[in-house]
Amino acid sequence: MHKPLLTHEIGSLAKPNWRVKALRNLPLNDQDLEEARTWARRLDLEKDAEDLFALLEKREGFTREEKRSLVAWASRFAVRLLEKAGLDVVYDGEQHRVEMYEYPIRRIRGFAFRGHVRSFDNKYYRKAAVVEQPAVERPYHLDEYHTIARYATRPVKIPITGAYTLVDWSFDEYYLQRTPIGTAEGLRLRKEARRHFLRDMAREVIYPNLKALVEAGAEFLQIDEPAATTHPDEVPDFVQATIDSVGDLKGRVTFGMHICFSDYSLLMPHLRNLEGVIHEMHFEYANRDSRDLGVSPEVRVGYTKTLNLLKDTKFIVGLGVLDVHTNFVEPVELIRDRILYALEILQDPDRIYVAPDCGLRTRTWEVSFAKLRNMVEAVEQVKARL
Amino acid sequence: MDVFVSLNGMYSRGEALIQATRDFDRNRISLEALETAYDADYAALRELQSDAPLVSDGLLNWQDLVRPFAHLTGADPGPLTRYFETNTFYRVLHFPKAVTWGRLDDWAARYFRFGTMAFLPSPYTFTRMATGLSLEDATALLRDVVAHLVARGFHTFSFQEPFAVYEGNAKALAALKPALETLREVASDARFVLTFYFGDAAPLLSVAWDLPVDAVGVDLTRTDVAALDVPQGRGLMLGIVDTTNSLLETPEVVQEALNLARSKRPQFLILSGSADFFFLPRDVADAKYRFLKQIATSG
Repeated sequence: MHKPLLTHEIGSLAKPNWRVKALRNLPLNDQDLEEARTWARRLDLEKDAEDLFALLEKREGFTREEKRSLVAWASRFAVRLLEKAGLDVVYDGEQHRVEMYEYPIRRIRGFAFRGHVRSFDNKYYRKAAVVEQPAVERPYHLDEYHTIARYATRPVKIPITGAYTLVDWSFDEYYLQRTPIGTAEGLRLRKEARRHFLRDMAREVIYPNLKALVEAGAEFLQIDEPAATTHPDEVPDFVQATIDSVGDLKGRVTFGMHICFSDYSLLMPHLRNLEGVIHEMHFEYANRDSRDLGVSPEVRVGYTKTLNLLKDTKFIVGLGVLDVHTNFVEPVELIRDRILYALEILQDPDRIYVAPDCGLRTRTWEVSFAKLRNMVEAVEQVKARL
Repeated sequence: MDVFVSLNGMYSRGEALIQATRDFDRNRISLEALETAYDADYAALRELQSDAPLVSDGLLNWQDLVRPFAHLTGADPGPLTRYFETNTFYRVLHFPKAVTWGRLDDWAARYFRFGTMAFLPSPYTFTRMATGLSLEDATALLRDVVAHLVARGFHTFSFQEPFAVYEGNAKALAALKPALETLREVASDARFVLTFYFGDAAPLLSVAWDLPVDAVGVDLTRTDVAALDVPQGRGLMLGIVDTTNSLLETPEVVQEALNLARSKRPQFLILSGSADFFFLPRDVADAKYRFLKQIATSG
């Protein structure tokens, strides 16, 4: 699968209105149906999608089976969108999932949801507690992989939320039991409990999932760890959890890791222990960069510091070139210069994969498609110069 | 020794209020309906604290520890910034060159609905959560707020100071002395607590006790009570339930720390959360607060 300047996305895409409303038992309107027809046309799926159109005419009261079918259609549309944009590796933009925390946690034995907590402003997320030793009864991304692999015409990448992030975003009502508070012994036991929780999540949850995907034929697996730098003193534990998660699967497929909106310097030097375990290390860059053209450090302010952190490592650098928080469609020339600048620092196109900064779920398909098309075109322009 | 219980900073919103804030943001309900949901949640929180001398409205309508000051001063809320080592974010306030503020009456009525205990950012933490705000400006602003709240009957002020303890910044802490003295000028009879969380308070205590405060608050998920010295006549606010985790404490889990704290003979003890309660779902937060009441009265 490896090739220089390979292009892929990071995870999420927006979900079509007809999929969202149908699953929430809200009635579809004419606009929703038209959205399905428009994208089917644009993605050359119009003929195949007659079944979908017929189903959508029902507009409300979809059965469980029909909802499953709608999810599969949304997945097929999203995969085709990425293929049509020209990406080398594709996924379905999380059409099967709620989001990256609740979806896996609901499928892992040993967790119970406790209610909503605030993330910021009036944004909340449902938070669960581990209440017994976690375990996976059935790998939870396998059906998704099989569905996507059935109609994808390009290699498929499956993202999976990593052990550290799942632990950090959960309460602990199991490992911390009977731990005294406010004593030296209690403080020591807290750290021990956290490591124990993390080790179990890596070995008993993430590893079996990755193994099932490898055995099913997946070639590219991406471990998402947005929480990696949340507790700087736990970076070594995060690294160990990744090693435990991959285990003996090391080298059998391409492993990527995605971390974003973090101070990446906090990961060093421990991250280097993942060389040979994780192939691609993908961070976000474009969000911190200027929109000016050029390949100088003064212009490419979002890239210099982080690329220098990775320069002497063995990682393939997953280069975020699209800011996912804006509708600004990065021109081809801007993306090209971002890649050329990375090439100047890394000196090797084999060490660069090109992608957006993060998942594009907050952008419309229209904007996402335009951004991704330009990204692919920019890569072609860079290749022509090599 | 008097033993009190208190909330700590921002409290969890109830599930109904959460839904109302979401609905309001999506234009599904009116402002009136949102206010009704707030009123119901405030009433529930008041009921939870019935009979307690230290009462707070839980800052339910605060988006973060400094955001209300944007409404008072016209400062601009900036991009999201991670709130220490949590999955929670705040907006840095950007203050214009000359910091000014408007009338306090309406503002304070909106952001301090009721209570006897007020939670405010400590002047140093305020400057760390803002740009363009000097320690002097932060102090002057807080001085007016404290004076207003004293006139309304608030008698205990907790100045939330996570930054100094997280950074282990003794110098910044020492620099708070003139700021707290300024605040004292308008609240000579009030009880001042400097509340540390998200860090080990023990290494900073000798500096903290040199400040004009009646008590220091400590986060017992990070601090060993045995390492705390309490000068005569001062109190301790013990963050003795973990507000970052849903596991409910038992008497056995807190007993040793509580005994140790009592053995240091503080003038008074305030039993509270290790940090803001809003890291917990409301039901869990309520259960932890009730537990505090239980151990406070169990001797």
